[in-house]
Amino acid sequence: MRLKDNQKDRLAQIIQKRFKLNATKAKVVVDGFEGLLQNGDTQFIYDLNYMIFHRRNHRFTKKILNTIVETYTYLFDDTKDIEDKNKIREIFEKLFDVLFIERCKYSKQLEEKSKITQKILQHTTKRLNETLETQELMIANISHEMRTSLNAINGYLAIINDKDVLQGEDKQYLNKATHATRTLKELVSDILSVTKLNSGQLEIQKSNFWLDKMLIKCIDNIALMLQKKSKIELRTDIEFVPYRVYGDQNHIMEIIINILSNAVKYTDSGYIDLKMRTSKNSDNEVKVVFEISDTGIGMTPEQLKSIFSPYSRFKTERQGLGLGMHIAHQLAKKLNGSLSVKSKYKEGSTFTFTINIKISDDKTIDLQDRKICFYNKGHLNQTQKQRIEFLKSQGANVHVFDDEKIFINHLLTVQESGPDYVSVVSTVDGYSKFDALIYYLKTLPNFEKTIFIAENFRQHISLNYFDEIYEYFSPIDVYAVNKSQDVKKFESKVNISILAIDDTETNLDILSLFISKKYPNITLDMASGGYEGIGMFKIKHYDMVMLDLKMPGLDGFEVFKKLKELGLPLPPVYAFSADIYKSNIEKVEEYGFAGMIEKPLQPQKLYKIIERIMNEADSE
Amino acid sequence: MKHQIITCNQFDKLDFEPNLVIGFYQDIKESSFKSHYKKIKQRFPHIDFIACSTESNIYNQIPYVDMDEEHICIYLFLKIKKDAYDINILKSNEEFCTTDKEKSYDAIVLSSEYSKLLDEDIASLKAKFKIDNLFGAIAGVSDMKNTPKIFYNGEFYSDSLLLLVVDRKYYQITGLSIHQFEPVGFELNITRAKDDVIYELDNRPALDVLDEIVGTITHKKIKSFSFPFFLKKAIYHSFEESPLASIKDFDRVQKTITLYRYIKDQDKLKLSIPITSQEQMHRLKKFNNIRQNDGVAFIFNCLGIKHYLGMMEYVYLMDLKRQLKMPFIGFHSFGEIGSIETNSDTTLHNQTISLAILSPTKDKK
Repeated sequence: MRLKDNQKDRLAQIIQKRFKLNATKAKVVVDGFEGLLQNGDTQFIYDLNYMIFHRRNHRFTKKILNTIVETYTYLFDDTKDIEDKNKIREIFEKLFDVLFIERCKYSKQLEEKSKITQKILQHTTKRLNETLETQELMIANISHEMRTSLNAINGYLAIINDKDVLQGEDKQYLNKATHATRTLKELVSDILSVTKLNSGQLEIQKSNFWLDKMLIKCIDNIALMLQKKSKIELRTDIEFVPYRVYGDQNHIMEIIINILSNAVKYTDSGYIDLKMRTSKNSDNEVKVVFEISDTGIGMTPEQLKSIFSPYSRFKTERQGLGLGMHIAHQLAKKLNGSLSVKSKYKEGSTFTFTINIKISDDKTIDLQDRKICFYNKGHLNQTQKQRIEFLKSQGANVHVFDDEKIFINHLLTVQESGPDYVSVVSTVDGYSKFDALIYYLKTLPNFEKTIFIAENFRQHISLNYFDEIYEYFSPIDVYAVNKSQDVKKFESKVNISILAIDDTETNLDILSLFISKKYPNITLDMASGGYEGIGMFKIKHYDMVMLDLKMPGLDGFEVFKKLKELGLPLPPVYAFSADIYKSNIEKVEEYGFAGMIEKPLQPQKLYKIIERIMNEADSE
Repeated sequence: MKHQIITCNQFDKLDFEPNLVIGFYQDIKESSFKSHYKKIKQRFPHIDFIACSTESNIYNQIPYVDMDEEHICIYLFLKIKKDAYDINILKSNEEFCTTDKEKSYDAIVLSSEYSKLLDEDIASLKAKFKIDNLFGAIAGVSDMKNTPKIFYNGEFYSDSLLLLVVDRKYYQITGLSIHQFEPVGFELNITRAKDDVIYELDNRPALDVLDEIVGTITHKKIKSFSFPFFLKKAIYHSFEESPLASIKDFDRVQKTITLYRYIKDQDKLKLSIPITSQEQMHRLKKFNNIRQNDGVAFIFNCLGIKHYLGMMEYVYLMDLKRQLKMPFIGFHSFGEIGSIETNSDTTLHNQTISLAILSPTKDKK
């Protein structure tokens, strides 16, 4: 059938209106349609289908559908001949079938194919996760073994060093071995951190803390590194924050220490500037910005791009694996903070770590009526002024001196009880003079409880009588410490018995050496396996049990379970383990252990636990 | 070089005297093909006539893919320099010996069915005939209802290869194969296999492994050709450059999988998933790079492509037509010989769209 001219015009109008085409283009479409109607030329259908496929736009498809319906309605109504009407119906059915019915079938097929793809991807993801878990477990096991060995090596080296029997070259070898062990320990620690971060095992442990005190700890941590680089000066510009904050202090410290040690590592001379600024986001949140700049080797743009990638160490002669910045960056993200860096090659780098921290609800710092004397030979800087204002606001009685003679005269003429704290910022000569003066003052009864503090002390002389020495500034909470508390020494004479169960002989050996050195009166019984330990526990009362978690045969958890089942009085049982994964710590808590003693053994932590148990035994 | 593509009984449209004709006929229409052969041979007694049976044909006019038996037989008529081409029939089980020849050739290979030698020894085939570029396809599989055949000047051959070589001094054949998948997941080691049957993957019954990854395997799933394997043999460095191998069948009792390829112990597999439609279009554009003026193209679309794309296969062919701006004929194949990148090794593939363009060598008019 042929289209009449008026029909063609009408169809062109419909197409023009719907697709906003010009008359020429609309005519081409109408001609294509007429070809289909007249000669069964399917090119028109194929072209239309091709357009729909490439546009992938449901609005366009809907427009085509509407146009087909409108055209069909118009042509069908306008055609009188029955045969022509049938032809129109037949052509439009074909058009509709190819463009929509077939396409729907195709979409259905696609959906089924995509289900297969999804199934494959789900399986792959599951397998990947399983593999990652296996790797995590493998790394955890390897690190456990490494930490156990390091425990032994560290301990033996410390003991040899303490004996002080090595001379000359031998002593140098010992130092090198100690140094290498420390590096290895850091490496194991870094790998563990990365593994924990990647596996989501990182624990956020929040506590209340002072920002200034935290920074002092960070600086202390790199003090040894700094000592070795005499041409670097660490400068601090730290805003005083008059409240405690509540956050994950240990991980914030880890980030800052990583940046600081990196700065020391890559700077041979010049400055490292540590700045801290804060701004309150709200009444209970503060934004803290730590900025660490150095005058080190800097980075090229290429190096800068990969600074936070793992293993990005630039100069092979520098120590470490290059995991530090990766860990810091990951940690910052984990703490909802950010870590960024700017650097100029051969000029230095600036790292900025920003974090929002909650302001602690616990605002108590007992400074009421504390008598504090400040002496500062120069002018007080802004931070010092803020600190003094804060102390005053907390009820402290603060006297500030900038004249040495007046200050000394004040101290010497104190009639009643002396100040609780005397804080001095001076020169080399000044510190020596005050050290001698303190020696004298301490002989006087009214200075019995006075704590003498040297601040901003970065001199190469030794002070003998100051109670506290700070290279930069003292933490604010030092003024809340009582001397009696501070100087209290452990004096318990009680003898206690400890049972240590560990399958590794060297671990027991090290433990024995550390304990006997500090507490010669303690009885330490050692068992090399679970059953042996249980047997010993049955026949003797112990004040404390240390139990290795990973032993062949009965592991620590099983031994602990059996100890509980014996029905005997159970002393504090501590887990002894190199596996410091969150899951393991949680299991330890769940089983009811009194705590966990990490390997490699940290003597100070061990002594603290033992002293607590001795105190308890004493009070009984 | 003159060329013209003609379907079935439209031989009167031929407007030049050809000396070579290449035909593709549906295997169920062998009698029609024979009658076409007679007609053509009567008209051009000295013509060289080569052909192969096919499952279905591809043509550069609507409907592109022969869905309604509109192109049951298609023929490419060529007028090319008589001594610039050569035709060889090889039995697929004969060993290709290497002989030196002075000329260098490009070639189209049509294989009646899958041959182990064609899969494993394309390098020897190329060396024997001094072939630089080799493209081609496999017409069928041995267990088809109608035995797949190749045809040369009145004779049908099964289990054979037909090699059309052209002298590079006068003519060249360029080409490319593309597929629409990417490897995914862990590699699977074939730990027990014989011929085209895999008994064990990673020391476990092969079908159990596949069931676990894809969900219970059904014939419907296999016929969708939605998850071919990447087959990594020792010669390939990575899965990305390895050819695809489609799954042909499975046996739930024996727990085996059959591929359209021979495999060996130590070969490795990876399952694949389809790339995005944008990436598919991007890959198709690579055909632009091999376009030749005055050329004519052979297109070998794997049967897997036909089943995978279904009714939309013609959309890809329309795209190809717009890009190439030259006529093409081809068929749905059971394996394609070509290279994924223009400079990579010639390999036997499954599930590719493979293109080979015959054109006069540029500096020789």
